[in-house]
Amino acid sequence: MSRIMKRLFLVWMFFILAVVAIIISMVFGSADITLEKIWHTLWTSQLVDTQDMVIWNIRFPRNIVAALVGANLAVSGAILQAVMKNPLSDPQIVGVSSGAGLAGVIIFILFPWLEHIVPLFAFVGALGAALLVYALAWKNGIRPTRIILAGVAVAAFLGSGISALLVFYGDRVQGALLWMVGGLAARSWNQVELLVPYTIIGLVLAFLGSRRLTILSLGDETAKGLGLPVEQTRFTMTAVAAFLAASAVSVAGLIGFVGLIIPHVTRMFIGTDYRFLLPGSAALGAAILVISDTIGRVVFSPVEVPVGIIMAFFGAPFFLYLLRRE
Amino acid sequence: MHVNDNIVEVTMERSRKENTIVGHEEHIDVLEKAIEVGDVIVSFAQKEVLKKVNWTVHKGEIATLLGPNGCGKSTLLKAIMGSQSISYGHIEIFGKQLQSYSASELARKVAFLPQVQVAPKDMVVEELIACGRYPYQKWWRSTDGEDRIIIERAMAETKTTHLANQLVSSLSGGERQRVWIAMALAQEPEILILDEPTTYLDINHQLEILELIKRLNKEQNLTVLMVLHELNQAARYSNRVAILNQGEIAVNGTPNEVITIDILQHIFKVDAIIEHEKDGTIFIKVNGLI
Repeated sequence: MSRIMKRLFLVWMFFILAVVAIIISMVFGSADITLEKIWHTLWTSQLVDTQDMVIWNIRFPRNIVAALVGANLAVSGAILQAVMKNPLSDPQIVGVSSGAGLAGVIIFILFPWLEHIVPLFAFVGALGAALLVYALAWKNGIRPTRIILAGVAVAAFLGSGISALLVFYGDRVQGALLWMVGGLAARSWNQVELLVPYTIIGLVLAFLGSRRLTILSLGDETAKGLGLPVEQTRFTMTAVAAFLAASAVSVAGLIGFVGLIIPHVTRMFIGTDYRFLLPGSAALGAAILVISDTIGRVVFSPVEVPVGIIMAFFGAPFFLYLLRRE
Repeated sequence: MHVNDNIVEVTMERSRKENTIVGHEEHIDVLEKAIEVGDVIVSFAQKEVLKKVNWTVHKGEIATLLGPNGCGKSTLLKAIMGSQSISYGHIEIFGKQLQSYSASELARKVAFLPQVQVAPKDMVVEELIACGRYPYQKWWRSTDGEDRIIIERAMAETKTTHLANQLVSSLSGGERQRVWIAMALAQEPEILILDEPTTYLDINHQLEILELIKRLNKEQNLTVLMVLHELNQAARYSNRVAILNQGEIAVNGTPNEVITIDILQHIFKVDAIIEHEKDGTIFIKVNGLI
């Protein structure tokens, strides 16, 4: 019982960390705003001065987008690590994000009038990429190394598709190009509205599957012996992971390493029981992306470094660390 | 008794006589069928891995499957578990067609311990054993009081209670195997299937595991089906032995009927002497390759 209490406590701590990160990071920016002012603005119903506007229309919604994107990517990564039996899985590494990205770029460039349902197309692209990776890696079951190699190949292939589109439609790429780097500049309430329903659906489905993921982590043979429909679980949970990644990619572009690092760090604290690992990852992913985005916004001001670059800068060394440890 | 060729049949006749002389014949009074495998064919890429296998394991027996590497033992276990689809034939568990069981219904009857086990690095013993309750649980509902009692009983039976809060990855080979058996027991199965449960253990822990299996069989009337490689252990711990060779059951019967010099020569290609111990079990001494 105490183990469960400890895990619940840690999940709450991560959640509080995320909330604190969202509020404190609003202090920083082109002009610093006091915490007192921020607190006041968040609870007031009228925006009276410029600082109110900055807080309510720029910094607050942007942080919410960052938190939701971070949560979705982290949970997506945690799921992929279980279903692909590979601790190095992450929506970007295994090509899921590229699938969503290619679908997204196609819509942005060729069918811009469909922009409001980009997440749906991105989902189709993400799921297609995941299935392609499975198909390429499948040979009498799933081997972790083959999954990663197939994933890298699929990511590169789809990435070339994205680049080709950007080259052919040079005149229309302005938005798409920035989107490719993975950034949250100018994200506001529109993106929050777009993201919230997908996030809720995705996270609820993920949590409902959490016990199955724990059983799956005991290996296919044992999982089958315990009565888990292994292949069906693998497919449905991959779809959930693709859905979450696609929703994140739709509003924030390609941000790597969140889905890789966050589940690992969470596991170090909370363990592999997915009933706690998933909410823990969601909270920590939200916190880390908010903090990284703030660093990107503030440190090199007035130049704003996209959060995707910040994550890659910190994430790549961590990836190498994991690679050596495995 | 399914007999494959004439040589074997003659041998079987002889060994049966020997058994009568020694006066050792295990009688299984309860003849309710636990597992029935009928005319089962499994083929991969046009190659038949199992060729019309017929085999019955009765309730309360310890049945051991022997055979050279690659003879189809693992495939047969998987077929019985329902995780390998069969091309022809039928499999029944307690008189009911395997396909008519739902996955969790089957997991409440049959527990399986694979040869190679995977547990996340940070999982502790108690958590792993609790996973054995999965076939009884639904969605978010967590482990309740009744589950707790069953988990504790499984730990007591396998003498793993003191390990409850240790990491599975930190255990020794023998302890780990007992913990996995405890997880299987938490499924409250009527049949326990073990794929080479002694493979990675030293001789002391091999016997410990086999004694545990025997005790569970006796005390709980648990039907056991296992794959072993060590012939003497098979002879000592089984009520029924079947030898699978090239996808067919070559011989099936009591250990004394099945493990004979001719079988060792023809199937395992070794030269051996068989001695009879005072308690009636046979002892196989392998002299070398033929």
